[in-house]
Amino acid sequence: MAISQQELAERKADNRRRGWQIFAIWLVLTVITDYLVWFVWGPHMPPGTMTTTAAAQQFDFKFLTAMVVPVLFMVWVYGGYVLVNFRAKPGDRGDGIVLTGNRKIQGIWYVASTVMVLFLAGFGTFELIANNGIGTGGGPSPIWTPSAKSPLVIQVIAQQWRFTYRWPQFGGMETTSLDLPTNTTVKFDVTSLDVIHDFWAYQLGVKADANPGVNNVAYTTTTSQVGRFTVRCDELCGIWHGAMYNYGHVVTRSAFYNWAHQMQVQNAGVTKLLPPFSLTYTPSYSGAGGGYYPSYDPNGSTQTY
Amino acid sequence: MAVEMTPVSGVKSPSGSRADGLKFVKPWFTGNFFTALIGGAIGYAFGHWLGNAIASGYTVTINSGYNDVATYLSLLFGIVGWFVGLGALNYPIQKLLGLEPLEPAKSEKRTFWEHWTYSTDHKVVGVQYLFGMLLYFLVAGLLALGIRTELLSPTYHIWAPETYIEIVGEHGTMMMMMMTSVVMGPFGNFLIPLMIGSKKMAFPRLEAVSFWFTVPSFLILLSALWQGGFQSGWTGYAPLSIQGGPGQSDYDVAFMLMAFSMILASINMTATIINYRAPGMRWSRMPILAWGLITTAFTMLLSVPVLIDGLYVMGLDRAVRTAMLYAGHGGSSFLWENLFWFFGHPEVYLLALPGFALTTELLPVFARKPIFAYKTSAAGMIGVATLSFFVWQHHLFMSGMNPDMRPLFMLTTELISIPTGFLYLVAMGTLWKGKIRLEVPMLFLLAVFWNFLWGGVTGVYNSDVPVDALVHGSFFVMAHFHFTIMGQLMFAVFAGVYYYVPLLFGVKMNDKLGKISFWIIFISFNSTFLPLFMIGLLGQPRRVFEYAVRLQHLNQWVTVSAYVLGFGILLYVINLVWSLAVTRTPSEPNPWESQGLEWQVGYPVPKDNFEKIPVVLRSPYYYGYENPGPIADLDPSAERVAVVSGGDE
Amino acid sequence: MASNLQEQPPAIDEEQYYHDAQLGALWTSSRTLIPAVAALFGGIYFAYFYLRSLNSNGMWDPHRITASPIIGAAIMILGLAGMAVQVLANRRLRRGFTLDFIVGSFVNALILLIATGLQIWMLTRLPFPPGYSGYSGVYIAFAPVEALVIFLSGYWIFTLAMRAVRSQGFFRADGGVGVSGHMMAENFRANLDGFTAFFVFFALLNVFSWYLFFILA
Ligand code: HEM
Ligand SMILES: [Cu+2]
Ligand SMILES: [Cu+2]
Repeated sequence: MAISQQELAERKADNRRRGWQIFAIWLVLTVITDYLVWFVWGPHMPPGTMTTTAAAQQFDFKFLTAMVVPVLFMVWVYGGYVLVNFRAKPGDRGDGIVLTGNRKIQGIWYVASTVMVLFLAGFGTFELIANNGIGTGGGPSPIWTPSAKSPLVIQVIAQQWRFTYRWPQFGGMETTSLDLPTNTTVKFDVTSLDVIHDFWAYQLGVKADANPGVNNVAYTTTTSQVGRFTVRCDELCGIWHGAMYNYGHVVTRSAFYNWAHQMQVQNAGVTKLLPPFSLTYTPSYSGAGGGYYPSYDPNGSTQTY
Repeated sequence: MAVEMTPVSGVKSPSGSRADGLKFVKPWFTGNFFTALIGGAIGYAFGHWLGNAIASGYTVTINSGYNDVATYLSLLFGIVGWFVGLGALNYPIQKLLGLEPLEPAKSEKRTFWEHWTYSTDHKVVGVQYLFGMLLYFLVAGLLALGIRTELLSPTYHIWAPETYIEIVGEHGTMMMMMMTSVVMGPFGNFLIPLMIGSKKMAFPRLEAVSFWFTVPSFLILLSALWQGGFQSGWTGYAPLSIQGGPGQSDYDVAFMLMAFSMILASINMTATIINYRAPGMRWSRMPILAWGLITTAFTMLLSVPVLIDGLYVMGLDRAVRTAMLYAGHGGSSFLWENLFWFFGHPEVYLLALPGFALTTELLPVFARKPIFAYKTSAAGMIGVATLSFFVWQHHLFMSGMNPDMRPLFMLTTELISIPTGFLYLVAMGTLWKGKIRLEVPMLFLLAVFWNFLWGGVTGVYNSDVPVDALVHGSFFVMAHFHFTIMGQLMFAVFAGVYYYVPLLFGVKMNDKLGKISFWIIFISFNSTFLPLFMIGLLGQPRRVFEYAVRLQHLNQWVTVSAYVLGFGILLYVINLVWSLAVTRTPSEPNPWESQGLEWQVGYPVPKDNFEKIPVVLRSPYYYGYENPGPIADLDPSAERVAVVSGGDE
Repeated sequence: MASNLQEQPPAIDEEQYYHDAQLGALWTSSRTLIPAVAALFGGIYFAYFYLRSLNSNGMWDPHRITASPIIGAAIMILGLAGMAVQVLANRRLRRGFTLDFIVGSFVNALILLIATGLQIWMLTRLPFPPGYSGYSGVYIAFAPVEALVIFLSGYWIFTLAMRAVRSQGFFRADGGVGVSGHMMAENFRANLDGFTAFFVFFALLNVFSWYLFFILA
């Protein structure tokens, strides 16, 4: 333990020198990598820019990655440096220096990590609100909603193992395919008839659980990009979960209205037979519920099995 | 609960007490694995008969074609039979009769057979746990290879979809159950008394029972495989789990048994660490592993009961058709999600903490330096444990449940990164100007930090709601928690096993094979799981057997890496078994030149660990000190004891 | 922990040391049992409040039917009575009246056995089928746990009473197990103390449960 003042001063100077070395390497690598992340990889990051929410997610992903790069390099550069410089030489069975703490370093660490974390939480909250829930399921009555007056409403009905879509603005018809018009704000009312599913329209940047008996609302706004998008179930829902996917298309407005009206006409016969449009559906007790619960009328008087 | 509260030590049979009515008794018999199996089988058959007698006439049974009541009762009575067969019920029955059970004798040298019996020797239990958990791990690992094989092709399937889901669920559940005990079980039981200078554990019977719960738990979970499995994965979301067949009941009961095991082990661990420390083993000198395990134990005590509730609610909805998880009759599928994650998130940290504790414990030995910022390290663990109770809804960001609370859960989740970061600070400080010895355990330790870095930073992605909108439920999340659990905890365990084999068994593992297996495991682990981040970002959800054709190459890469990883782990295990059973190269008494108290007793660890109660003189991390002096006085004199108990230094 | 070691000249008196440790362990474990059991019931209370506040489809408790309030109240009161008896019995024990303690503890055990029986009996005559409402489900979840914990508490105090019976002769010269300075007596008292702490907690928790399931409903 007993080391002289002089040794101590030397050690300090050495620490400082090494510290700067590490810092320099770190800085160079971080700057280069962050540049690459932001400008080279950035524009190609998932999930693309087909909608406003997808673009926002892409931006947030990029932003977080740029924030994470310095952290990664801090550990890597430090670790690499330490392993190269402080490895025991073969045959050296000695010990390292005695160092049980360093107030300054510890203090910087605490403050820096706290600041960074608080900033990230604030940033995430801002992005969530500014993007009206950023395409996520916001429950039955989201408080962060887009300003568009009358969004296109599409009800996503999940069941084992398919998605169907109901269109209250088109006579309550139900379709198995999904087309969206460009430059339109869309409101998805997501619900399920049986177990929990999740409606994930990857390129649209929309993800919302489909819960039985719950309406889960997600918003997005399409841009002028047209093309195909994937819809996948993103919550394990049983045996065929893996096969629960299909595709939709963003098409021009006129194409969309053509399609929708054609669908409306084509489906008219079926639409009549459907139960009236509602935000959630309770499967009849002997129906999709599988007759699980004994058939007594839950609102009537008590009956036994 | 009440069953085990009475201590066994301190009770010497005073001569002549018999006459006064006191009766000291030995266990009536000591059971073993085989008698337990017989007992379990009898109980199972009885329960099955009973269930059929009760419920076979119910309309629901007739309609559905199988009898949930019988399933649950057979498992329940099977467990009772199991413990009867083990002889675990001797003690509570003796207590019921007012007898004074004696502490079962320990043997001088552990025998092979002893490990098959219901032993209350903490060293035997530690070894039982070690091999038990290893078995769990290997079986679950094999299942993982089954999953990866299916994913070689997006369109060609080797498993039927129900088989695929079954394998996924088994793999996940088995791993998540096993990991909770993989440090506390083997290392906690074997080492904690040695580390804190105690001759015993507080409640040796609790410790034995906690192990013997894990065995039927494993068997029952495994048995789900030929009962149709469970489709709901390890998260068991309702109402999917309510639809499931008998395999789902197996999931339910097996997880519940593991939960009991965790609670019992935690009670024992806290009582031991708090009360059985040798004189001079102050909190400020306590090995960091003990800090890690006591925090873990407290976390378990508060979170695991909620898991029991959840499983129980599910069991009731399944067996007697209550409707707590079904909205149509006044329940909610959100209830399960809440109960499950209220346990589930603390769980992920009670996997991580022991891993970190073990890593931090061993790091100074190979850096040849004291732990940097020891207090920060303990505080970090306590901080993580505390915060982990306030973040559970970050698993439910997309669920539509409490959407307005998401900023709050985003904040708490990200706050956890602060105390988690402490552990990096500690490690980085510890390595500074050390004399780093790159022996096999150290390689694994360094890999822990590499791996967890990926897991930690991607945790920040997950906790950020806007980005979670992209990654939730995808392979990205899957890669995240494999980096945190497998990459951190399992690597720490690999290090720990390698490091402690000389103490446990008196032999050394083969270094060359160790190094080879390390590099294979490390590289193939990263090459398996790093691409999975990409696969997830490109849109592949978890738990699917079909995926986009454009992702096939990445998936094939991952599968091949996974095979290599499996091979690497096999190599490690072969090294272990080979060293134990065949080569048995004797090890020096303290091959790593550790200063830890656990290494001072030599091999074989004496029956009572220490001849006399040692007096601890200093922290176990005085590396680099000129004259550190011994860590403890193993044969303390009266003056020494007086000085220590004086309390100031 | 390491207190009063100075008085023992031959280094450490190991028997004493581990005896003290064991007393501490009894304290710790009984006190950690309390939050663990609180968490166990806490999960059920959570289910109660959660489903009650969601009231899915108006089905939390559409007709305000509860399980039998009379038996419910009886169970709660039995718990409190058992607590009172036990506290009195413990006080007698400290004064050296072992027999009073034994009688009191057996009475408590009996009370708890009756409460267990009532709880189970009540389950067999519920005024609703299990899937009837949110309330019915949560109550059916609560009742067996309640019965089990009551039963195990009864078991615990029964083992202590039996120990006191067996050791009566042994400690008579010392003034009884409640007074004796013998290690086994100390150990006994530590165990009893753990039980009492747990049991008082549990009896009070019962009042809360009763309030939830029968008053607030
Ligand atoms: C910096 C620390 C960490 C943060 C911020 C974090 C955050 C998260 C978040 C937000 C999720 C949910 C993602 C989603 O489903 O969308 C998640 C999932 C998960 N995390 Fe972490 N995590 C961290 C560390 C850990 C650790 C240490 C472990 C285990 C040892 C772990 C294991 C898991 C597991 C198992 C899941 C997935 C559960 C499932 O859905 O099946 N995480 N993490
Ligand atoms: Cu699905
Ligand atoms: Cu979590």
